[in-house]
Amino acid sequence: MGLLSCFRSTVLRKCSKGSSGMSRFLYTNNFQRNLISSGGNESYYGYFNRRSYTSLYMGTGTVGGITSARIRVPNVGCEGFMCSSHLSITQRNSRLIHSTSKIVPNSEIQNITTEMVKTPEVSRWMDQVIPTIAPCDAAEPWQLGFQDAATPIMQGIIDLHHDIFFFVIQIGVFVSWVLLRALWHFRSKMNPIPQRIVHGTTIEILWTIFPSVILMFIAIPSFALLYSMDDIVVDPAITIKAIGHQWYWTYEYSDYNNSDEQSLAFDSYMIPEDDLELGQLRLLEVDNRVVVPAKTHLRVIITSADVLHSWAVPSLGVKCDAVPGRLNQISTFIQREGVYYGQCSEICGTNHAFMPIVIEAVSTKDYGSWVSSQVN
Amino acid sequence: MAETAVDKSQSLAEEYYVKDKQTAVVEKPVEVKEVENPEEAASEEPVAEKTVEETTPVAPAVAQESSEVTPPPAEESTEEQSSGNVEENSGNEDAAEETPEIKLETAPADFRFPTTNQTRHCFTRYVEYHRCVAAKGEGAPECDKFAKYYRSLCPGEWIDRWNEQRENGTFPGPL
Repeated sequence: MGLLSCFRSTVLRKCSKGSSGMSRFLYTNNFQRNLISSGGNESYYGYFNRRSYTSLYMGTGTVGGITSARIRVPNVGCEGFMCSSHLSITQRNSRLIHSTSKIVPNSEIQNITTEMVKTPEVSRWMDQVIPTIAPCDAAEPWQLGFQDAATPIMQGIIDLHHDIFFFVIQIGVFVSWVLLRALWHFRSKMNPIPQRIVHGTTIEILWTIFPSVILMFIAIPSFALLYSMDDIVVDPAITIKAIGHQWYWTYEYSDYNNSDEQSLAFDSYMIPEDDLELGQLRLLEVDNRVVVPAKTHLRVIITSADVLHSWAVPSLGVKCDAVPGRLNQISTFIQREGVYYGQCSEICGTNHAFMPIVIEAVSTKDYGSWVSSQVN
Repeated sequence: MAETAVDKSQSLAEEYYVKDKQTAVVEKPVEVKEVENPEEAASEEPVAEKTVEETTPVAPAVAQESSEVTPPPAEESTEEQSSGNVEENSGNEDAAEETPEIKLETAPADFRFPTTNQTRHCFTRYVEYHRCVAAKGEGAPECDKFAKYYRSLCPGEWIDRWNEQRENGTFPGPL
């Protein structure tokens, strides 16, 4: 089918949107990307990495507890003046902004790196941060439709929804017309004595065949998309384990360790509303993000340690239950770099609404830098 | 196995060689870009061969290895430019990053477990590793592959619980 092959770049469409909420013009991803790119042990992000990302076990024979540090990673907010000026730039030169958001001049990176080492406060280096628009995929306020797709699966889901909605509108209008017509023409004034036996062979045949044809037109693309989601087709390059707890997520990267005690594991707690920086999203930000490379096949293994959870990220088109004692696998292929937000989607207790999921897709080189900073 | 490992090590060496050139000769970026293109063309060929090999076998291939998917060439050019800018600024970071080699490898997909439920897959990989250790002895190089597989698939708490059960002799699997 042509569903998966007609993937369109949604970055331009995002930039060309007229009225957008404040959440569309965050600089979070750009800050995170530069922090990861700087690397090394002397950088500002490395300092937070060593404190906030804790391994499950300290040494070979030492069985340690799970340390969950909750340290705020500062993000760049968006002031009113900057936001309004970039809105006008966005409406006029969307392509220029699209190109600018990826290629960063050399001197700017050097300034950011220098400032990050000197003063870690947000307000001081906010003026020097590059005013670019990074795709942070979270729902706009009162958004009703889908978020922008970042995977072929989500693009297929959106296209399938458009196809089925076409039939739904037609069927709804037709059935409403038949119903209202029957209510009008068979009212009691015109038909005081209702007929008991009414039969027509032709209309019986018609209203049996046409629904079957419509269902076939709905089922064929639906089944094509469903079976294209199968996991077995491609060998993944990275395996991430998402373990649900009450009420946070634990992530493990175990591809880079040489023994059972060196796993790259960290807890991902929601940043409370009182600790949010300017521009951060309420009920969506976490202290430790899941960093994955873009344009790479990923395997996410989802399980739970206590009760049922569900790992759902709308932009990636994934939703999978976390069942204790069972490993559920989903495969995904993120096609563009950005920050994607999700939430737990299986009621799991009092704080079910306060265990978000944040995935940051970076380039493969930045991912290597991030893993190097974590493993060492 | 050995051939693919050798190829990957060569490609990694070539990448480091290119990085050294970039740090040394900053004044001539055009030559650096020209050098990068044939290497990527050379690197694309083994990836194509791997994809052909992967599609051919129908039986479950335990020795399959995953590799990074090659992006389209148009996107490669933008990535080259962005990575080049980053590399030119930070020479020390390249030196720090070169020390640990990180390969994007993980346990391959197994046709014995095609469904979403991978619980038995994790358990089977664990049992396979310990059978290999029992047969070939502790620290055998053939068993490292199975160790990586079960570490990628199994959560840490499960592995610790199974290790404890093995020491106590109450592990339910056929070791």
